[in-house]
Amino acid sequence: MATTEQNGDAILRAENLTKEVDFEGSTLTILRDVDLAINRGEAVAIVGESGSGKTTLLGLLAGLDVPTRGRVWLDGDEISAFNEDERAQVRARAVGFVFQTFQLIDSLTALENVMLPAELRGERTARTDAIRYLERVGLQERLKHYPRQLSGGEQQRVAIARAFCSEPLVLFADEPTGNLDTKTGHRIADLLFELNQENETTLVLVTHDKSLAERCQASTELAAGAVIA
Amino acid sequence: MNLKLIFNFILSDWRSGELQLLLVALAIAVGTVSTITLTVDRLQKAMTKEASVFLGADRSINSRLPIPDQFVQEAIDRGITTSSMIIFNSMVLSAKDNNRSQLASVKAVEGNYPLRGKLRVADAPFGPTRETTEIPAPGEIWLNSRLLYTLDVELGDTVEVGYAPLTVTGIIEAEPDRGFSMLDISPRVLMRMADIEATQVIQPGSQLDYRLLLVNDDESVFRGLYQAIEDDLQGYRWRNVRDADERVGRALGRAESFFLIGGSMAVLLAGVAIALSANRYARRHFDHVGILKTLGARPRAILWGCLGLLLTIGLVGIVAGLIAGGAIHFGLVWYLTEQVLTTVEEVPPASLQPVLTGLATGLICLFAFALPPFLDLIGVSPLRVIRRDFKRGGVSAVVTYACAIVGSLGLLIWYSKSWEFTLWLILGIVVVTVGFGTVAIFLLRGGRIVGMQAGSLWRLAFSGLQRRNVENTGQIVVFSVVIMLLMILYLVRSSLVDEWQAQLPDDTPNHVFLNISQAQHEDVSQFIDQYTSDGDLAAFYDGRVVSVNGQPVREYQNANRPAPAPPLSSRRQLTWSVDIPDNNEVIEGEWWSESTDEKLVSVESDYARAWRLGIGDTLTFRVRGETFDVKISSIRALEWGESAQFNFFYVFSPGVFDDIPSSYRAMLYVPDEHRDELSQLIARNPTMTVIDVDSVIKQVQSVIDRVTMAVEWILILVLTSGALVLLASIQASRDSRIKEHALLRSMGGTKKLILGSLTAEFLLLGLMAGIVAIAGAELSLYLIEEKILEFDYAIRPEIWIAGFLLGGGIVASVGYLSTRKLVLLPPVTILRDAG
Repeated sequence: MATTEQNGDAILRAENLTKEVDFEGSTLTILRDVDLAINRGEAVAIVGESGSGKTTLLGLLAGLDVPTRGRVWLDGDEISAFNEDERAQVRARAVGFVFQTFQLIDSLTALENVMLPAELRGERTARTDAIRYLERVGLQERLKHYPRQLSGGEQQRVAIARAFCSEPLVLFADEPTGNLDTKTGHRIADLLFELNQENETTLVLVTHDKSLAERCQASTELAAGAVIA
Repeated sequence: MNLKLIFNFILSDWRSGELQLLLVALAIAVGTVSTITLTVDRLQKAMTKEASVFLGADRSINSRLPIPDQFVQEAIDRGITTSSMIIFNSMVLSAKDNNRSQLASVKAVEGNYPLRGKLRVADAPFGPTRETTEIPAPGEIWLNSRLLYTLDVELGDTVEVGYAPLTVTGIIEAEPDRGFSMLDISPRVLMRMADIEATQVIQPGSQLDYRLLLVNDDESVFRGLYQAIEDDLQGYRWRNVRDADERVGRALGRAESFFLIGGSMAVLLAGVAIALSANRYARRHFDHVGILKTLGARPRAILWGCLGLLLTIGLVGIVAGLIAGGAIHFGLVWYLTEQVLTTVEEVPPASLQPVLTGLATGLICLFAFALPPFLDLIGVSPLRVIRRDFKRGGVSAVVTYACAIVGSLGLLIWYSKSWEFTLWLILGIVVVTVGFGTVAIFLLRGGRIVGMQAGSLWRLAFSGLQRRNVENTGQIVVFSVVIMLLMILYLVRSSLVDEWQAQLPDDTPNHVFLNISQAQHEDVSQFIDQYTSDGDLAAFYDGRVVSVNGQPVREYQNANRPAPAPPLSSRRQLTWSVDIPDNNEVIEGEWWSESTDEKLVSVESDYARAWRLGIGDTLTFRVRGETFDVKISSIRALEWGESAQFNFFYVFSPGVFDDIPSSYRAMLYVPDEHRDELSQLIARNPTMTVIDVDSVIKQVQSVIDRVTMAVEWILILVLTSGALVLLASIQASRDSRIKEHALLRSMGGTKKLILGSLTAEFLLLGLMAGIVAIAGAELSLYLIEEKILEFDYAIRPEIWIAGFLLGGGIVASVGYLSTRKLVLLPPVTILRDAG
């Protein structure tokens, strides 16, 4: 069970969340009856071994995918009942992401990558906000660099700037230090938590790194698709 | 997605080199198509214009009846230049005291004659000739050399045509519209229409041939004129260039078919190149779209983004293509006109149609071939950012193929304006693709068995072929279709050019000798032996049928009145022969033996069928007062006008005419260097008629040379398109090959090994494609040559080896050149870029 109290302030809530996929004629259950509630401003870790269903859960909570059964509410909207268009709108308004593989667009510069979410929303201040956040993550000298010209740590910092620049209500981070060396990983984690506190964002952190999980206020552990702690 | 963002993406994709191939493919598609259509449009106009000298105009209206003023007015209203002409046979009399007269073919023309082409005149009888556009002034007349001789008049003397005295001021040897007609053998006289009234030859019942010549550079005005007067054309003959000379007409018709096939192939190849590069672009952007969706981009926004991107690329590609096409066509037209010594100014300007064709081709290609892969992007799931393998299909394969097929159909029908041709071509390609795919799979399977035993470079190549067998099957199909299309085009071109050259070999007879009497026989025979290519004097007799199986011919004719056919009772030219005349084929009965003493005749098949004459029927002929019976022993089929030779309805067995005096005829090739000897021969034998058709032959040859050159250029353009498809296809498969080979290099494979195995892999693909293409080419050639160009198809073993080697050679070289640079990059760069 989730370690958080289920109360009216939960910004993210899941009920009986089940995900099944068809695989070579048989049905494979990846997630089974997961219940979860995360409060506004909280940092929650989802931990578990490889293949335990962490990433699938993150995809469902963030509205990237729909559950086979069960429901998900994000900021009061039942996103599991939304179509892709409506879920995209929710993502644009309320959700930010940081991924293990950074997921920057390699044909855009660091600045353009950070500006992207705001531009998708048609905001006019995209550029100044993006520069501010890139300065915040210490990349003011690398605005015009392309992802391939940046190190892994720098790429992840661009991704973090992009995530916070749209001032999301909930930030989903999928193994954000998984592709980095220990030292860089620590710096990235520090940056992530600092910005999270500054912006009072709700953080959902998927990781198998125990030390990272411990920096969160709460954690949910998955094994074989079910919540065990 | 807003415009600025779309623009940003285009710009960044451009910077990173993602868009270039698609843009280049599109620009080349539009460029090739507009080059072909623009060049063809202008060359066709130029060729039609050049060929129009055979008619002396672009169109003419001919009749035994006077041309109504309404026709002339309708033509003038449409901006068409007109010129009237009357041709009639009349006695021309010398006004001198010598009482000489001669039947001549008089051509009365208006002041603006000739509208197309030039007259050939001589300054002295039988002297050297030169070209001119001048004509006799009113009150003057030009005679040909023979007439000057027979009338015994000189320049400055007066002759009479009807009641009009006219001063001889020139010697006319040929006019552009004289043509090659055997019926038009009287000596020619040229005078002005203004003098016609004074001759008083226009009387009720006179046999006059009225012509209205029409000229305009814009072909469409003739359609308008034809429609306006169509209902009143009863009794009038509307003639265009193709009617004027059968060989030119056929050459133009077949060249158009070739342009059509070439153009259609260019369009299809361009479509394939666009589809391949759009596909590659889309595949490389799945991740980007996944990220955009994660960041909240809605599917509709992605759709608008894709459309915006496509339209921008489309616009730039189409404009670039049109500019390139325009520039290349100018170069081509310049080159072609340089080669045939016509100035560029004389080639009529292009119309807007080719530009529209290029534009429409670009748009159709864009939406039929490039849009489906782009639509695929809309369906990319945002989940892809966390699970790379996750991709819900956007548009189904059926939609993609349907778009491509509908697009190709639309383009081909619009381009060729022929359903039948389009369906054949599409059907051919579908059959070939399915067939090729199956063969390719078998070839790839065979490759595994061989590969197992091969050395390490080849093993790598074979295993590469195996691993990507689905991709490679597709690639073999694309390569084979391209190689096949190119081979077809090349071979069709060769057949066309060969056939044209065969039609007019260098020793095509350029002089027709008529009315050679028994007394002149020896002199002419000697001339033939000494100065001309081999040729014989053929004996001619003038005679007619008087009865059929004992029934008087008029009675028989009335009882057996056929569909329109030349009358049975008319006078005919007759000859005898030991052997079957060239280009004649006995389709019924048997040809006689040399020693036959029977009186036999062979009848032309259409004529025999029309008059219900069959083997064993007896015909009674009267020739020079002698009457005799002959039995029909064979029926011959022949192509009238197919070759430069005399053709006959009746050919008799040897001995039939033994006691009857004959005249002789011949068609001979007299080389330019023996023209003086020819003039002397004519001067020695003035009653003999010699028609110089050299200028006609040269004109035909010039048109055919031009068509041949245009055909070769089209071939080169289409070859370029084909090379582009090969490049796009290799580019598309390069990404996965390169990544795999970078891994091998990181594990210790040498550059030499990697480059060698990549080249070997492309070589094998090319060889397999070559095998498949040869079979496809032979099949398609059979259909194209038999059904469209109406040639006799013959299998061509020599292309088998060529196709096989070319396939391997071209694909291996293009593959080597396009991957060489990447193999030289450090593996770490490739692996990092490939993600």
